[in-house]
Amino acid sequence: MSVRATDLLLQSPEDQHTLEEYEGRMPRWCTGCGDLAVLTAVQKLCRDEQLSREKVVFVSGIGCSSRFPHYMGTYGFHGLHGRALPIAEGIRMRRRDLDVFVNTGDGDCCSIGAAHWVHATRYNMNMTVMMHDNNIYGLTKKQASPTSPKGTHSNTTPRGSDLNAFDPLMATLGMSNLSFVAQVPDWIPELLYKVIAAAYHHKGFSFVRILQRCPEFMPGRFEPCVEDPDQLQMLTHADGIELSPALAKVYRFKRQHDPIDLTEARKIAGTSTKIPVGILYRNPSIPCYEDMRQPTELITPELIRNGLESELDRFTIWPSD
Amino acid sequence: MSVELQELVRFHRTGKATSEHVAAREAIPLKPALFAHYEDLSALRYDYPVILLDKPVDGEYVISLTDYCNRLLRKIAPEGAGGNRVRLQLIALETAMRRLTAQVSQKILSRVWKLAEGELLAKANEQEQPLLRETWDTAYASMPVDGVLADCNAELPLAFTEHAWRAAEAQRAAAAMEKIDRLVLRLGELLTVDDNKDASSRSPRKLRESVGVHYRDTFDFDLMADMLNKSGDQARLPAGRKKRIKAALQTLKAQRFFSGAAGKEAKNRYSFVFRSVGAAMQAWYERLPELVAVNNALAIAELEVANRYREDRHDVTLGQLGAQALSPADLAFFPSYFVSLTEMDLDGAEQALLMETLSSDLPIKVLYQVSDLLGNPSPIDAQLHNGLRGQQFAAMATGLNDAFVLQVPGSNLYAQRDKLLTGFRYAGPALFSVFVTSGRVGRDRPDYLVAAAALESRAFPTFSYDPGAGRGMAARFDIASNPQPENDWPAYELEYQDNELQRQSETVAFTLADFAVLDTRYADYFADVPDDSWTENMLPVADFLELDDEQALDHVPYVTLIDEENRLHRLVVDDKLIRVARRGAERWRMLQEEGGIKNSLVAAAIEKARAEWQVEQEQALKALREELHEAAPAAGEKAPPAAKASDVVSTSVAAEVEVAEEEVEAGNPDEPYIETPRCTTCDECTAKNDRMFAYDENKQAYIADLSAGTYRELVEAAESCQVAIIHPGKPWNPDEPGLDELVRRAAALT
Repeated sequence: MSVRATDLLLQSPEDQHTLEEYEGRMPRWCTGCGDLAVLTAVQKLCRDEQLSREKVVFVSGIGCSSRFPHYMGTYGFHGLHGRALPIAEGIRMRRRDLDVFVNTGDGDCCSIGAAHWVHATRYNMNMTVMMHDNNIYGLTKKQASPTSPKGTHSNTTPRGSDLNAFDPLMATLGMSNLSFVAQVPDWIPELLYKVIAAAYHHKGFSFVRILQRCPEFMPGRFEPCVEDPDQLQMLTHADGIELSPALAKVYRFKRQHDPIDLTEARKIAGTSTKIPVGILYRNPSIPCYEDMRQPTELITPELIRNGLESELDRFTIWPSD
Repeated sequence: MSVELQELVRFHRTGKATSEHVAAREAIPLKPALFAHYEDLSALRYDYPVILLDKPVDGEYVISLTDYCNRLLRKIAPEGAGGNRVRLQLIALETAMRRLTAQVSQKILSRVWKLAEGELLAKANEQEQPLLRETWDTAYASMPVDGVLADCNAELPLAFTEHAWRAAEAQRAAAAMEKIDRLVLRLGELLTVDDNKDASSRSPRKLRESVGVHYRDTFDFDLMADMLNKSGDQARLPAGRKKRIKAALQTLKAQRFFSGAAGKEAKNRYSFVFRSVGAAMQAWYERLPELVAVNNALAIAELEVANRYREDRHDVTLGQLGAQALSPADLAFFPSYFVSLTEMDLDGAEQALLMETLSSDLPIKVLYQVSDLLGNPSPIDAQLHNGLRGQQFAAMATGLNDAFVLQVPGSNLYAQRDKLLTGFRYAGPALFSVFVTSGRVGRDRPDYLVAAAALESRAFPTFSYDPGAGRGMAARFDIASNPQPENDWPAYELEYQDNELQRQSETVAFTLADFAVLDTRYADYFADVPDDSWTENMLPVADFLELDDEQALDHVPYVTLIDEENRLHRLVVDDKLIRVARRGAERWRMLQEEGGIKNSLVAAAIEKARAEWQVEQEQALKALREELHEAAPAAGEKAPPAAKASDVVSTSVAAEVEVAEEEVEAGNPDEPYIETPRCTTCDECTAKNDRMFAYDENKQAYIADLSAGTYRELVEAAESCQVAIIHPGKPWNPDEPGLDELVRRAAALT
């Protein structure tokens, strides 16, 4: 018998958490903003997984999407621009009992936070990262971001942006030690939920690029895709995402893709003429940095104090007798 | 029957040697012929002595001296001929250490190593000495370990098994203390946070104390205290919760089951080593209330740290969670009890208590040391002791079903070291039955050889029964560690020269009668037959045991022995000893069956299944022949293919898909509706009219109340919907103004 009787006896049905319990403040995103769909999908995930609110933390940087922690009824850390990932890594390293989510934007992640993103991927710490990519700096009223398409007219590029857009998928698929990469639009709630849920269940650094509509500053950017399902290519697989019959009927272009095949994932991200949607890569065998750096002894205040004292003593000049 | 044979048969049947054809066994010291190569064990590299390691190395708690030296050689000796000098030098040291271990009183590896070095250096010349020192120093430095050297003798079972038990308990204690220390730390943090919210913790004096001397004058601590007391989270722990946390903390700190950081307040940690089952049981019951208290404190602590303690549920449950509710998995957290027993300790009451304990689910681990397998020959010939009493407890314990059992002679303890740990880690009772002679048997032979002979002769086979290994005997019972487990007796090739100095070879089985040769108390049960009296009617014991009663009448069994000059002898064996050997063979066959070898029930089942299969096949063949015979006139016509299962399945799957697709068909175009599953919660419609539109439990929009708004609002909401999922349908109030235009706009949205 491997089950403790004590655990069985003390196990009692917990109160069922409702979606409303995961709601924080009233969102102040513009009406029609894709972030609202992401928020709903995440709150639904928390409810379906029955996560304890005090055991969940949302970390963000700066930007529209980074207001996310305020709108969740959990713990949160609204951090500095581009620095969501280092903060999340610190939390994960010391509090392995917490579920860590990161909400970052295309500017926050791909520009000022790009270096942290590269190394966070390499560390492969267990967290779910949602990169809300609306192709624009929205919070500061429209400046071109790294993912803005060439020719985007904005406050910083009044004559149209000069550079080709940065491709977060190709970038992350080239990073060392990556273990999970997915792409999903915000306007297909079922898929959005499934992909975020798969990212949450993956043990490791789960990077989800969310194609996010910004009706205020990038109207029309994704509308063609919203109106024409044929612009999307669904990546389906028994080990990836499988479509419901309803979605399968609407989205005609499907491609069987085994998420363990990294070469094929790069091919899809780099050469597909349609927008790939689903899990591009998932490798559960990559070790997590926090597991490798698991402390061998209990970190007590005494241990910390003694460690500090011994370090400081190295620089102390002792008076001679 | 010849006169010589009659004499041999008479001895075999009566035990009386009365002529020149049979000689008294005592006249010449003899030993089994298969022992010929094992005269001086100190010259051999084998499993003993072992080093009972002070600290585990690579997870191992014990290592044989030979294995240790082999590892050192792998580290320091180059492969090939280049490493020969180093190998010879270290093996010479190993040989010296093996011999010294039997001679010195302080059997510590580091000490014996130094003694052996000194002895060999004294014999070496000046040129050799630095080379030897370099080799040995380099070798020891490559894997410095230390511990007690234990040889295979009467002290081995207790020393080895208690050491294994301590190794298992050290791991258990480390895991337990890690948990207790973690919970103590977290509970302490809860109390500290609460204490810090107290006004006294924010008093100017406390604040002043918390700042270094150099900056004390920089702050206004009165103002700081005032500000702190007016701000921040002032919510305190409820009194009941604080009391519960404090009580759990106190219990965990005061526990006496483990020593460590949190157990440092426990002045007297309990001992868990006992010399009788009764004493262990008494201690168990005396400590049970404290065990329950610690178990409950652990549960409370885990719940409190996770913020899952619910007074309305857990107060009652924990109040009722007494000793009777604890499962072996609960008890596995706490130390097990180690009891060592010898044959002398087991009186009737202790025997009964032992079996009762092994029938329970208490973590009591019993070492039962067997030192005399055959016992004293009975004064009444007809009632000769059956010679297998050493096996009885282990065999009986196997039948108890939930006790871990390991039977092993001392010679194989090292080989079974992992099994020992498994038994100590098992969450229930365990019995370890270990045989090493106490000197009564084979006093002129090394204890290792006698123990090994007990294994070889099936007098004391190795077997284990592990209830934690899975269901069924196939998973639980293991006899694979015995020599040639598929045979009745292990048999080996014996090579010798005959009287004409010609090389001869024969296969010799090692039987229970051969083992009895080592026991001088049984000398009278053998009679030496001069080689000129050897006849074809003399059979090796193993062959003789195969004869039926009638065949046995004119045959006699013998064992093959050698004297001190390695001359072969054949000794006829008394029938009383043959009966003992026969019973031993029967017992071994039962173990074989339990271990899945030559299992008679399986053989019978296979035979039955084979017979049934043959009948079925014959019937099928017959039916086929009849069918062919009937179909013969229509030969040439092609029969329609039979329906395949895959056809049926694919039809059914296709139907399911069809149904699913029908389910997602759009609604009635005249009725207003929302494709709720596609809603992205963009707030457009709810911002327009939050009574007409509402969110469901998934926070996706639906039409809650049409009458709460106008057709115009519905059409405008549909037009502003980001994902175009609102379909207005037809207006429901013909009096609403501007309907014509709205209907036109709605047509594009339906």
